[in-house]
Amino acid sequence: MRTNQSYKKLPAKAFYCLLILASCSLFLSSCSDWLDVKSDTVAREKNLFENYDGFKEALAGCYTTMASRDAYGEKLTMTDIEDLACLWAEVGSTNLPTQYYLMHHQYDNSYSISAIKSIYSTLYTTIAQANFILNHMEEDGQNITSKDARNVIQGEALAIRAFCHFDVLRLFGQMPKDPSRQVSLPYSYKSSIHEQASYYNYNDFLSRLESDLNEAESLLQQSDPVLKYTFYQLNGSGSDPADLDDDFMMYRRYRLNYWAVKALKARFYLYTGQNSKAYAEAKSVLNAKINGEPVISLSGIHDLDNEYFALPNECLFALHNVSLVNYSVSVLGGNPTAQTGESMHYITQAMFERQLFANQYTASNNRYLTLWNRNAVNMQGIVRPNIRKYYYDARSETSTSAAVGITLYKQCMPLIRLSEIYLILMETTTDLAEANTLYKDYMASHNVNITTDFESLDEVRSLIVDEYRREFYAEGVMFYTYKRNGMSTMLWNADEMTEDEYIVPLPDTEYDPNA
Amino acid sequence: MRRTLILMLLFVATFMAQTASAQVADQSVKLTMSFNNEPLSQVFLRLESSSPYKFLYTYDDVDSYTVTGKMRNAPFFDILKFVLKDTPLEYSVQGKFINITLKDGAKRPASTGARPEGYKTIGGYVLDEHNEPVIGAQVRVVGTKLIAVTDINGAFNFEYLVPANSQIQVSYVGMQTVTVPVKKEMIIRMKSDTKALGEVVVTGIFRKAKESYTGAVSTIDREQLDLYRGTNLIQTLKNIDASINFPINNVAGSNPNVLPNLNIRGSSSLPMSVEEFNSNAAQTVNTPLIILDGFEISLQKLMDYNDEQIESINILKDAAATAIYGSRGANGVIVVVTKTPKEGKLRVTAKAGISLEIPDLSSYDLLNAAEKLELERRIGLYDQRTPASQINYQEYYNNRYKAILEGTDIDWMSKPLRNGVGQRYNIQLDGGSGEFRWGASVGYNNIAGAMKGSERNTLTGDITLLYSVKNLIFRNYTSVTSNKAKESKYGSFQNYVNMEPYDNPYDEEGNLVKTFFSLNTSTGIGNPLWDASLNTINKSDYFEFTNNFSVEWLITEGLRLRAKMGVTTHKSSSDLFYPASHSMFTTSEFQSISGLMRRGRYTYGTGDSDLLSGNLTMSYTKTFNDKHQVYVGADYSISEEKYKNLTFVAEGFSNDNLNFMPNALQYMQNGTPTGDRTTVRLVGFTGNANYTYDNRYYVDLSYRIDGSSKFGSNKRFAPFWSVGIGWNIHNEKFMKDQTLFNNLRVKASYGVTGSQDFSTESVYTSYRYTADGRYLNWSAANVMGIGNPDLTWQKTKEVNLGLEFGILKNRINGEINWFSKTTSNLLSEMDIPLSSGFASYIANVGELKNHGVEASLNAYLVRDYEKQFNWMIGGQLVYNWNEISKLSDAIIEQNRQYLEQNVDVSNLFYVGRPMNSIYAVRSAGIDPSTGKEVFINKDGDVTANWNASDKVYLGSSQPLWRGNLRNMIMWKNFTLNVSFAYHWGGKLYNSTLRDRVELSPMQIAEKNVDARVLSSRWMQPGDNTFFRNFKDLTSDMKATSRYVFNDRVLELQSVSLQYRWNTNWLRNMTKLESIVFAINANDLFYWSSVKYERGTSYPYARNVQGTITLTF
Repeated sequence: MRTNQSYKKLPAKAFYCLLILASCSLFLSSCSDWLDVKSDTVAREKNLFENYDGFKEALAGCYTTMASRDAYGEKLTMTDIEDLACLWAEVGSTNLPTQYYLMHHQYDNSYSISAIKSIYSTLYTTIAQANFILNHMEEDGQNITSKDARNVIQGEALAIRAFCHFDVLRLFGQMPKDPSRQVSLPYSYKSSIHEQASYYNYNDFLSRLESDLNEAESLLQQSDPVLKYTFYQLNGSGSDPADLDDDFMMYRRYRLNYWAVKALKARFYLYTGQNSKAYAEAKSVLNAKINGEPVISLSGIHDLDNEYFALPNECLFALHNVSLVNYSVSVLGGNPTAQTGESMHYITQAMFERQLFANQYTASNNRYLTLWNRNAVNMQGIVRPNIRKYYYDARSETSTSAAVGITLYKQCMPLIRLSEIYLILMETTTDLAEANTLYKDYMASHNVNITTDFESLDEVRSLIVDEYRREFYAEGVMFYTYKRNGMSTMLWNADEMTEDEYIVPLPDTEYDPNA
Repeated sequence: MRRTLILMLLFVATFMAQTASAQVADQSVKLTMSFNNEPLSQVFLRLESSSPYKFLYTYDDVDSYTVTGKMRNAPFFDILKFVLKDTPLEYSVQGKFINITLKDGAKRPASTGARPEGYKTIGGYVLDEHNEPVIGAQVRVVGTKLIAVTDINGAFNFEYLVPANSQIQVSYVGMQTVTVPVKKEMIIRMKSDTKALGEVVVTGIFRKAKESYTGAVSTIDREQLDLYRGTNLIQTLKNIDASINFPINNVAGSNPNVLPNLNIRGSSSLPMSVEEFNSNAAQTVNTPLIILDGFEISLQKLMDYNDEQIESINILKDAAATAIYGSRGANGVIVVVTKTPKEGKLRVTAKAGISLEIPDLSSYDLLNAAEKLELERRIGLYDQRTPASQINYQEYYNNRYKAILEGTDIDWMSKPLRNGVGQRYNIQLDGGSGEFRWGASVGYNNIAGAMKGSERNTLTGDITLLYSVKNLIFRNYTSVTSNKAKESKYGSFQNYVNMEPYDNPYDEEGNLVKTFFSLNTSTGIGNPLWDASLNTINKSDYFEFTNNFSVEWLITEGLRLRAKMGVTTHKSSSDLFYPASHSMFTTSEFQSISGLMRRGRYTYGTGDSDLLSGNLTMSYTKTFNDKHQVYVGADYSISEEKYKNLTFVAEGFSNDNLNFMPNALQYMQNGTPTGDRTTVRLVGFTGNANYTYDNRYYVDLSYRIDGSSKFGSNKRFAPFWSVGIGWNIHNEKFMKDQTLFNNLRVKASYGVTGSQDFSTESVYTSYRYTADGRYLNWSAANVMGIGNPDLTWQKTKEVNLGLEFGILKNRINGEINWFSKTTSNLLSEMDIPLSSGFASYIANVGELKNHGVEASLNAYLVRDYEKQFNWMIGGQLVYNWNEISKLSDAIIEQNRQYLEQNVDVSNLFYVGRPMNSIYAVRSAGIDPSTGKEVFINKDGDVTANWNASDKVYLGSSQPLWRGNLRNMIMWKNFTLNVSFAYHWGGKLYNSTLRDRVELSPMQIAEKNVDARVLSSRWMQPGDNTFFRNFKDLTSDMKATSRYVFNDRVLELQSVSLQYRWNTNWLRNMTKLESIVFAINANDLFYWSSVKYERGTSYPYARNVQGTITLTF
């Protein structure tokens, strides 16, 4: 009897139970949203570019990557690249093994391999981030309402891509002059797991680079506020600061602006031996005027007087680096009250006095007098000059205005300065009188009054390489200058430089997917 | 989603109301009974048969009464009142029992008169196979109406005289009925009746009858847990079942605070990164899913779990068993079932034990002081070119020589070691009646490691409440765990192995030396004992609270619905403090004025996680026409887990003894807080159906659909399924007449399961915002890595064929399973050229095959119940072959490019080769004339140059064969268990050779070395040796076949001896039910075909435990 009862009850109960479970399965579909968990600290690429803010953050991200220590934050400005140019005193393979092997151009050593690999990969990571912006600009560009902002962001991303590829070329590429070894290099347009960058021979690589530079230039020409305001105004300084609604259009010096692209082109043409083009681009930068005022002028005297050692006011392009002084002190020194450490990058007194500033008017030259801790000593009391370029006293940040000053003038890593434009013009001009004028202006900014003229353009050119060395210490310029001129000797390098030393080998993880 | 939950709860509530009323109706059944001078005890028997109740009474109380009368259509309790009305007896109801007792103040009636001749009083105990008392068993004198019921101690007693030569029959639900002749004092043993109740497989979601289960599962019971006890539960599992594989972690040795790795049936996932793969350390991707009472727990929780609370552990191995866990099941599932409180009066079990960790340095063979100095002299460390420096170096030599002559020969390895003495305690209480039962336990486990100061303390407490009302069972389990882990101040053991035996850590006054003179560096070599003497802190704590609640509703016979809800909160913190005098602050960074202030560092980490999960399970089982058995189950589960962790670093501690974080000068210079926050959500719907025909043929189907927040949005739900069939041959008619096989069963299954160990960042290219990610005043986002939108979960397809047999009444039984599993869509990091901007991405790179055989055999050499002597031997043999069966074109191309362009990468993958393959260049040995290594290139030619492209396959680092052998002897109350483990068929890349034998003179000047450096390295032309010239540095650290050895190991992994003392004398004198003494020893001996140093950062240790268990 009982079993019969439960038989009868069963279907109704089972029906209810099944209903519950069926309703659960129905809700599976609405669970889909519940399952979409978003993170607070991470944004997805596909969502980031849904608005202007995302584009801004992605572009700022390119610059912070550039400013990382593996790239222009240290390796491509202060240490590794300058080691390749043998600018620093040799510390020895135990204290600074990477320096030792790079100075001896021993690229198969594990220290060199890992240093080169991190430089290479950080350059391409920056390129990849620029590529994401450029690729999204096509589909999502309309999310930026202002056409000017769109042009500026796109132009800068192109310029970043070109800037990094250009340094890949200068470091890993073949000799620009009389090459006997050809080197193909990857030029990346899209960073995805399915498409890998194709390799291009020297000429193809150059034409791609040039086309990116031209496109960046034309976009920025349409919209860059730097064509309406001076750099000084765009820093929000002075009695007549630029008054822009969009804060992202300010501080153009710290981004690849229109004039920076022009200067970069001058640098590019000079490196590839197209001197007349280099001259034209450099000249356009030098002559640039807004309301009759020069857009930018040499600032050696003013900046060094204010202890702005990186000469921020003559930078056409600089990186802002908030953590600069945190490590620059242990890498380069610069603190006038501290000793020179054994594992810092420094030069010897002999190198400094007898060679670097040989035949210079050191009595007033502000680079000699101010830029270096020229009497700094090490623990044994031996004089070991170190450079102050990236030093400031962090404790001086006592007020808001001081903090702004530090942000804009001291946490600064120059990548292209007007001084270089002067040197490019002096090297490429065909007019001796112009060269003489340029040199006088240039030296005036060093607080040196030049009274005697050069007698020939050859005499001007013979001075250029030494002047690059004096001017751009710890800015990562010198190795390329040697390489561009194909010089078989470097100052302070005992070994002869051949193509094998100038062409840094690609990391061993690289292969040509199309080979 | 919330709405769904509320709806479901509403349904549940309405259902409960309905059943409650149904139950009342059942009870109002009316009975009609007539009695004619019937003895009262007889009346009770009749009442029992027509009701769900059992009567409990003392025979003498009711002996003298009889009942006469008739009740018509009366409720049960009215009849009961009627039969007792003329007696001084009263009744009370307790669950299913009715107690008949004398009313207060009433006197027991006089006995009915003289007892006949030949009758005697008898009594005894009823025990089960684990020597636990059987409570409530019915003991009947055959042929009479005399019945007794065993009490809480399993004791019974007939106060009535029993005819001599009669027999008594003992019966109990779920046990085989036993009939034995009457003796004066009897101990009756009962065995569980597998036929009657059916062995059950607990899968964590459903409970299935073992007779018709097609999955491969091994069950570990309470007794085995005691016999194979290791330092923690995970080690215990390793000692019992060889199908659980533990890759050796040679770095961590026997460190009690390091989580071991484990996998079931081989690896079915590739490691995510190349580094991880090569270090061979953290293969966490293969960790099985662990389920405790239906809820997922971490490996760490299992390791620290109070194993006294475990009833059994089921290891689900094949797809038929794990398909119900869908996307989490591919690595196998470990299902832990906790004890259910036992009915009856309060029972107390107390346990105390000590545990010794004795360092095992038998694999180390270092030079002593004199030998080391002699080696240094012979390799020319003291030979200098210029006479001036020669004088200096001669003096260095003389100083050391003098020290040795004065007797300095320091045994550095012993300095950080000790015989660790740990303790463990456990108290367990349970009791309660049928309706309400409870259990509680408190356990404390202190493991003291073999390195001084290294320990792990775990305090656990839990309470289980069980309440059944009508056809509802409520169960609530609450547990708290508090754990404190401390690392040794002595740091890495390796530092002590490296120290030179002629350096004395103490000076003449007995003070610690800070640094020792070194030929290489001007700063010297630090004395690790100096750092160890400081106030360093390295510890971590966690606290975990778990509450699991379930309601089970037996709707009708066979149909049940269960709702479960689990909450777990886990809070952890870690402290790492180095005082200012620590040697890590001697670098130049800390020499400047500001650097001096920054000495001393405190790292504090904190983390918490909350897990909330619930499920609803319905099952229905029914037998039709005695032949067709059907089981249907459905389950809906949902869970959310939130994790958060944060780490801060502070620096600048003026005083070594101030080690509280606020004593710091500042936060770490240039440091930022680091941390992570994630949420993981999961829903799953599972269905399972089983049909059995006549207990002979059966088929089993499972299906699961899983949704996870870890999947990409395009593939939010993933389906998994399995199907299995089986045949119980022993139930066939043609087997009825034979006596050889009492059990013979074959089964086969196939299924698809998954595993998903990737984050959404692997699917989508993602940008990260970091604290220093600012550019001027704009926030900056940096790309973390490149995403692979095509990424999908790994799928494992598995076939399993199994055979089980029992011969001669289970005298010999065994099981053999053959399996083949194919994991496709294998996830791994895929390297891409750096010019893409990234080093690698996560991809479904290929397909991996594991196939193998698992066999186990147990046999009783002696099985003598009379003499209480049993001798059982058994063993397990596991064969596992693993090979990569498919690789994506991209990876094949990558390998080709690597080789063609002679790129040296650390691991290579080839189709047809095992995943853990060792690739190295073949070595032709050492050239006796130069002492340099000669290689064989890929064409088989001899060459002096090592080339990455000449690497060939040299074998797999995973052993092909593994297993164990066991021997158990039980004699009276003694149990001796000995178990060996073995493996062979794999290769070992012997890094000891590289790190402690094949060193350059520079390296030998810095540390002590293996004895083989002195005895068997090439010194001069003509030496025919295995080890190369000291001066040959050309092939430094390059992988060659010289370092690859056959790996064959035999290990005495566990020995235990138990004695149970439960005599009457003990019971009478102390009121103790029993005392059990046990000694367990683990990892006693290790024999290996490869001579290498075992336990580098932490040594291996032999573990010995002594335990005493008291049951009240």
